[in-house]
Amino acid sequence: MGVSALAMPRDAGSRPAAQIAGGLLAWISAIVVVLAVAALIVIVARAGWQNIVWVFETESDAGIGAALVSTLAVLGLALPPAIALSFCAGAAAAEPAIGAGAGRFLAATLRFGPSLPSTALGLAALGLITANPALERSVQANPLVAAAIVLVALNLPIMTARFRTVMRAVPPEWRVAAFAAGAPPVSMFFGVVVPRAMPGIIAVVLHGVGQMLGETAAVAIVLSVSTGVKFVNHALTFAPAPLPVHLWQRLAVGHPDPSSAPSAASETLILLVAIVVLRFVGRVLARRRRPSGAGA
Amino acid sequence: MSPLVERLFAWLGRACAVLVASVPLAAGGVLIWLVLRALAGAPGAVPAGPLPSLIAASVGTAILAALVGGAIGVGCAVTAEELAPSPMRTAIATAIGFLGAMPAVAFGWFAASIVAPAIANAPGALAPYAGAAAILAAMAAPTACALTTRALRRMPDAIRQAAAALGASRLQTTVMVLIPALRRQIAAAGLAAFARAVVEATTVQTLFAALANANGSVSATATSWILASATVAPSVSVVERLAPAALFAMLIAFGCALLVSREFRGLQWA
Repeated sequence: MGVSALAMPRDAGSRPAAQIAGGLLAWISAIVVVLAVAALIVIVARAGWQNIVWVFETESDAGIGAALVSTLAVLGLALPPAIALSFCAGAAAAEPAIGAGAGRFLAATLRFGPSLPSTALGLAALGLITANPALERSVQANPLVAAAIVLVALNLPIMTARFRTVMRAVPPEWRVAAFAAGAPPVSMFFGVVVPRAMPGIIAVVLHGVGQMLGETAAVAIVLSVSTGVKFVNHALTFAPAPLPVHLWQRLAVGHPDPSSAPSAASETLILLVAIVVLRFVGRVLARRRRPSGAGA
Repeated sequence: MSPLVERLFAWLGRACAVLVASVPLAAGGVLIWLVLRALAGAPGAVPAGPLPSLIAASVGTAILAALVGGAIGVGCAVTAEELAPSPMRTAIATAIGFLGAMPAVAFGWFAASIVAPAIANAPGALAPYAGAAAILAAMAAPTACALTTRALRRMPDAIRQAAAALGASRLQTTVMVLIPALRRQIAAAGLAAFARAVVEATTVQTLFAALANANGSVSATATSWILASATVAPSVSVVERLAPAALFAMLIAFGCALLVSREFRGLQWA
């Protein structure tokens, strides 16, 4: 491949139509995407903004307020263990001196693990729950904890793979220099790799938050054990669903009420704004925390 | 840092590594166990039922989505990396990044609010799947774009400079040198787009639910069937009935991921 790529085709100048068509297709794709995204933003902003105040004010039963609270609760339960576990696992996968055989085993499974479909994980969790009555009662009693556990399990491989990528992006010369100076592996990791990789680590954490914030299928499948999706938001005494599951219920469960369409638009807008803000904050923090020489 | 802390963190890292590595393996093991248990409980208890047609619907829809979304994603990557001026690059990267960050349920809202009304009166049983493919193409494009961008960035500048020294324009270099040289990586990006589309459940199920309410049509793919059935009636028998479809989705996703990772790990320019 490399050799053929280095050789300029002999008839490069004799196929202007193919060149123009190729370039035109690429440009059209890019312009279509930019225009489509702009149109989507305008549509969701127009549809969602009109009812956003109403949605917040009238929510005693079908509420976005309850959904936001449960979203924050699930995120609060899921994020700390997900970050801690995936950070340690990422360190083991990125640093052979720390991970040893376990790190190599993890690196092998990370080639396919992050692609685990959420429906498959949700159904596997549901299979375990329904096969074990004690576990089922426990999930019914603590649905948000169950949702958080599923989110952690779903995001662990993805976050670990990203942590490993940002840690391995630190040039090996830094490690060699630290080892040559007599630093042990873990000291080298925290003293050299982590500060250099800090912008990437922040980005991975915020990506993880975004991923958990938007996850629907696995959480909906597990929550269906606790309350049944049709009754989740009939009262606050029932466990309210996180925002994406709540939105999905409005849109796709049973016979959606057409009058709830504006509320669904508002919820979509809130979800999108939250994710856009997360991405923006991630970029800003990553730029501010970039140490000198990080891009070396 | 004391030697004890050093050793503790190393063991903690190894324990976490084993835990993380076991998540996908455990999920696969549980699904296989569910299928075997259903088969052992009553021979033939896992009916083929709608599964073959659901798999065909999933694969067909995902292929269409991967063709369209993959082409769009590759086009965006090539334009942003090689052809466009700087402000346009930023606009393309922002737009494709926005699509990539959008949660599936937000795509579901667009599917239910825009796509479903547009195709509700379309003739033919395949119209819902065409609508699903259109939405899935938008979801798959960022995947193809990200992988193609990575491949383009790993291409040494010496290749571009060599082409320029021979008198090639930027367009000629891109179309006649870079894209042919990266055809395997571009195919892998298309495969990743296919994998992204074939396992998607929330968006597709939302679209099909909206269409069912609008015109009574009954459509499903393997994963949308899992989501719809498991959430309505979560029970042992239902889970066992759905397990083969989930296993199919997982195997497809893992197989595609292995192929894609193999291709992108092998991108070495000595």
